[in-house]
Amino acid sequence: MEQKASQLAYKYAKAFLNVNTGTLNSNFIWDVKKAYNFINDNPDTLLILTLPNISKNDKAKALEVLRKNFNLPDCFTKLFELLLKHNRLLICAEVLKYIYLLYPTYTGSLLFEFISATELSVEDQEQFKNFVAKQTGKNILFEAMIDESLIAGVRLQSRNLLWECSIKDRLNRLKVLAVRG
Amino acid sequence: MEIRSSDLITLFEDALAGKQDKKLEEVGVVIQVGDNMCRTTGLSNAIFGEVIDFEGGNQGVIFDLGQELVSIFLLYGNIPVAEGEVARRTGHMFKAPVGMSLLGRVIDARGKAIDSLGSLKAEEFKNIEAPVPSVIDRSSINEPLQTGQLAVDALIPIGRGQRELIIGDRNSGKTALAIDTIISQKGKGVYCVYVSIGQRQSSLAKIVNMLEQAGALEYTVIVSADAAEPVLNQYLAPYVGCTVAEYFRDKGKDALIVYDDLTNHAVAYREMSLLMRRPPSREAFPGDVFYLHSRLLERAGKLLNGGSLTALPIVQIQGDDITAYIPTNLISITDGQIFLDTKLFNQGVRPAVNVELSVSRIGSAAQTQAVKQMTRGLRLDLAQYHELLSFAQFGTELDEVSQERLNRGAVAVEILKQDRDQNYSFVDEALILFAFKNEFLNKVGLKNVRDWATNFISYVKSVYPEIYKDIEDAKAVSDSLVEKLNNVAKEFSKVFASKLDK
Repeated sequence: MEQKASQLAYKYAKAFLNVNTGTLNSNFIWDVKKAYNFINDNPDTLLILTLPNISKNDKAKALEVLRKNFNLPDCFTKLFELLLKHNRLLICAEVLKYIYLLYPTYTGSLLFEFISATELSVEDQEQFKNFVAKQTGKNILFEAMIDESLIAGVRLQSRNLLWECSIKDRLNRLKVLAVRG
Repeated sequence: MEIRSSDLITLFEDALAGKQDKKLEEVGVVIQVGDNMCRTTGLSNAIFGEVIDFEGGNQGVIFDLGQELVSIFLLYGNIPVAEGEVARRTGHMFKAPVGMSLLGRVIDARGKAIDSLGSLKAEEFKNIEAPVPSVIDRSSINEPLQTGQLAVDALIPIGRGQRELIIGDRNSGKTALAIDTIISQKGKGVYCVYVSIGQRQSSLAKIVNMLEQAGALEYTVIVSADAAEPVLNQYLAPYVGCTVAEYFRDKGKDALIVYDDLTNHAVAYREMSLLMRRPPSREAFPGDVFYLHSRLLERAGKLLNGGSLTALPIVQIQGDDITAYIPTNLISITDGQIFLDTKLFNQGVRPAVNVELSVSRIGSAAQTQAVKQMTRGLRLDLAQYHELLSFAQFGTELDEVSQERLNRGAVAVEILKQDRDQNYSFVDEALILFAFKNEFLNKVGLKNVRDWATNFISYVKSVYPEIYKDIEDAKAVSDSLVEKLNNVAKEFSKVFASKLDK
């Protein structure tokens, strides 16, 4: 059952990207990620919207509020309407996940998180972006995040690639040596 | 646990000098963990069998590459792996340490020493999945591997480079036979590897102690993956052991490897396959369980460079049923089997070798000439004895000839019995069989047969050492020696008889 739902979500995501990729601003992908994380962590949000005693108009309005809250582009309205029409609202999180995963393949780009202990300046972010672009030969879409547990340094991470130069990483390597013996 | 100070200094130096690997590492993220296995996303360019490093310190080996997910089995059961942890590619397959420095050591399937004698200094690290020697690189098996057990050396001779399966029910003496074979290799230039798979730690401790006391540990490497180890380690242990043994083989030396036991190995692989949701077939084993053992055992053999790797895989059966799945697989792969019968064991026949069900496909091609000469007719005597025994059990009156055959067979069974600490050289075996063949043991009385045999060997060694040496050097018993031995045996019979009278 789970596999079928996942396959279905994949198809919705593919269809959405096939139609809308040309009109989307690349930074929307981070908003999609936030929306996915929220719905994934709060599945009851959409569960309520599947109840039969709520009218279709009210459900559509609720979804519009959700879209605006996460700054998702207008084309997402049609996607939510379609899911509502097909009674497949519960796979919305999966659809957003697949949009997040598939969008880079449509645009030949890579999604990266630039994680640092302190805030990176715009120049530093550009420098890292150019470094990663040179390594991978792809267009880089990045999101800067702060993680104080790094202590100092930076971690550039995508789904498949990692470059890290941080105190946390160094300490971790020492820990591994001690643990493995 | 030893934190190597050189590693710490290097790390600090790198950090201070600002050195950093400029390449992006290929990674994945753990999304599911459980049962010593985890599934990760990413690792899109990873290869099957590659070693993966986890952020938390654990390591694993890739066993399944799916479209979305990669299944990795973990090497350390005590180092936790958390969801969301980063998994890094190492770029290499699983390797085992090899070298002469491993002799006398006990290592685990990860290649780490577990005998508290300091860290290993391996000469090199080799992939555990190695190509099998081709037909062209092999030579015929013609050199005997003495097990020191008369029943085996006389009737089921093993050659260097042969694969001989040891099959029997629990507590039938399988491990004892294998360990006695290892002990018997002392001074014969054969390097031994004992692989313990899924056994109790207490059993391994006993074996290590036994080998140490017999002076066998100095030419033996022990690879252990006990029952408490993760299932991956139990799967890897035989391949690690084989890699260690192949090092000696490739140097032109003779090596012996014992796998104790492959039933546990198959069970470990079954567990891994079921966790990976591979479709189960007969007895819930995966479809490639035959290949699991065939690719391991095909690495044994005798090579043109003079080196050899003899394999003694052990398999446990239930209720003396040799028609089960794994035993029949192994019987078809190996060059013969030694079947240890529980009934014989309980009757006091130890080693409990069932001669009728045991076979060596190499046969007398790998038997010393001296023993071969003296073994003629022994198998027939035993077969006739067992045939007549069934009549005797019904209380049927037998004629003189049959009675004589029955007595002779009983003597044959008696001489094939051997104590645990008793190892015969081929000369000893030739002498015992000579005495049996020439009917010197027929009138001694069953309870004195073994005493007579062992004392006869000591008598020849001490009183006629030149005969003993002649046989040892020539590896055969010439006609003149036969005549001499006849006289010696007659002389000894009188001595023994007078001793008995006293």
